[in-house]
Amino acid sequence: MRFIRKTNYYQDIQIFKHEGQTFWYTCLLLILFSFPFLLSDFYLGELALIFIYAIAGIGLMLLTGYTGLVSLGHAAFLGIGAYAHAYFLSLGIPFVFSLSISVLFSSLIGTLLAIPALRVTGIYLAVATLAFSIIVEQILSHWVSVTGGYRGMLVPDPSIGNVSLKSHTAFYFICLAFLSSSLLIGLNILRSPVGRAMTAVRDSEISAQSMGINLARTKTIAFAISAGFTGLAGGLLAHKIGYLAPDSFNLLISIQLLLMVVVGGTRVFTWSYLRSNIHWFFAPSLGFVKRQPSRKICPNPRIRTRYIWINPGSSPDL
Amino acid sequence: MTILELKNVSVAFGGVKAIESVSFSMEHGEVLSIVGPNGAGKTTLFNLISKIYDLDSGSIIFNDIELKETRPHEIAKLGIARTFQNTELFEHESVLNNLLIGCHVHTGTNLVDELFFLRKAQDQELVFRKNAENIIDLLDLQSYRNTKIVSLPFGIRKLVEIGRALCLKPKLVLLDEPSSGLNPEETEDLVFQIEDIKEELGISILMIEHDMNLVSKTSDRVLALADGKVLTIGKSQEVQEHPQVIKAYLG
Repeated sequence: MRFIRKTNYYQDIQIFKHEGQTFWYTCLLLILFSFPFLLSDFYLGELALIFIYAIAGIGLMLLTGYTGLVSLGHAAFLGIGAYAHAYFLSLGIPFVFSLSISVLFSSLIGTLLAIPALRVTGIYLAVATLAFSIIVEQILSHWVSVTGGYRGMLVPDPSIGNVSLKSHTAFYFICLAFLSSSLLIGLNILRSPVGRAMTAVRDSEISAQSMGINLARTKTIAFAISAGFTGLAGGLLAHKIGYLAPDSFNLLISIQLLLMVVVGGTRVFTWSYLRSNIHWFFAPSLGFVKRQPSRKICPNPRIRTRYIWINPGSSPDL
Repeated sequence: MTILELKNVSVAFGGVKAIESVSFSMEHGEVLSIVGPNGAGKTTLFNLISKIYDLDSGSIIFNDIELKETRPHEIAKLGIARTFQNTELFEHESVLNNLLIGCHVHTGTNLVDELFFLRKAQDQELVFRKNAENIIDLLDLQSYRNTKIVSLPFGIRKLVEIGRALCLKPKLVLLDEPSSGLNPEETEDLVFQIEDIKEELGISILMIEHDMNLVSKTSDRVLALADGKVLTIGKSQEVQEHPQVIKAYLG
């Protein structure tokens, strides 16, 4: 057990609360930096995919875990981010700008979704977001001039200036950089008034109101931020899969995202959450479950149960 | 100086007239208790003042501002804080975080400051923390600072809720049965805490309370309510001896 001597309030608002945390997270970062030299391209690719889904997970966790709004339609934001990014890239917009615009665009759609979503809660919200994702899937299939319809859409390779970022190593580092910054922003939200307002809305709407929290504003911000993160993940995912088709972003992906967040702990950020992500997506490819590499919903109930069993605090809502 | 004034306030839910032409006013720094049997409309009155319900007729004036089109979350900004009868705390958060949410109305940062946790947001966090710590000291909550609400006993929860309301730095605080669920010792402490809130922080208190002992020890005036109507308003002793009040309670 560690006892921390606190001498000022500033300590409590820092991300790393004591030297131990700083040390271990630095170790983690060093290990992550060493992977490209140790692992083959296949595993780097799988890791990049974990990072991408982790970014989407942050988005969904802020909405579902912290604001208490369940979404069964988050695959739609992955799709919006992916298609928007691929479309802007094909127009010749540079990688970084294209990705930023896609994030903003996804946020904007999230804000629009918030307008009807403010009027429903609980299971009805889940149904409403599900409907939203089906609408988006239909639009992606039928807006042929932009999305290519059922023929799909080829995603241009990422590059900054003339430097191609196509290699597995480069892409791995891009995803790592985006994941780290997303985690940082996520943690910033949680230690600021906006994050506390979200938890307040989750736990008691009536008293949140009496504390001067604008419910509509807070929920809209939660949707926008969540959609932004998921859109970012979508943009990166587009490069990972290389070829977009409308059915790449179906209900199964939404459920998978939701399960990832719920099993990993709806209110657990950082490492233990990432670990659940690894169980879900990495375990199959490591051959734990005697299957071909696959990204289907974690097929092995034994791993799932075991995960919950060894991390009882990680799944408060299960 | 009048801080709160109700003029002919009425509200009905379907055919039930919950509040019928209620008028009273309270002074700055006053402790006014509302007593009355179950279903008298006491909590409804609180919900009207905090704009959770809309008035059918009449007007509520707080600090010379008529609360007409005011939305529920704007009430806190004007300086009215409240607690709830069965506590409405943010249960999965620590006591400290609950108090910090109480500071929310004083937020001066925008979303960008907060997303990147810029200097301004950091400084604000420290100010909020200082404010919350003052309240923790006032209510002796030091040992519960980092405990989650779900694992706290009811008496402490009531206290945390009062603390959260005080973090708003309100001018008027509405306490809905602060002593319900408390043991005699905790109720005894509550007398001093209410005095502290009044004397040290200069906050006016409008309180719904059944414990007549607590009422007479703390209140400047008492208002008796029955069936949505004001029976009488005056000193605690006068109200308790008022024939209509006795009739309302004993039938």
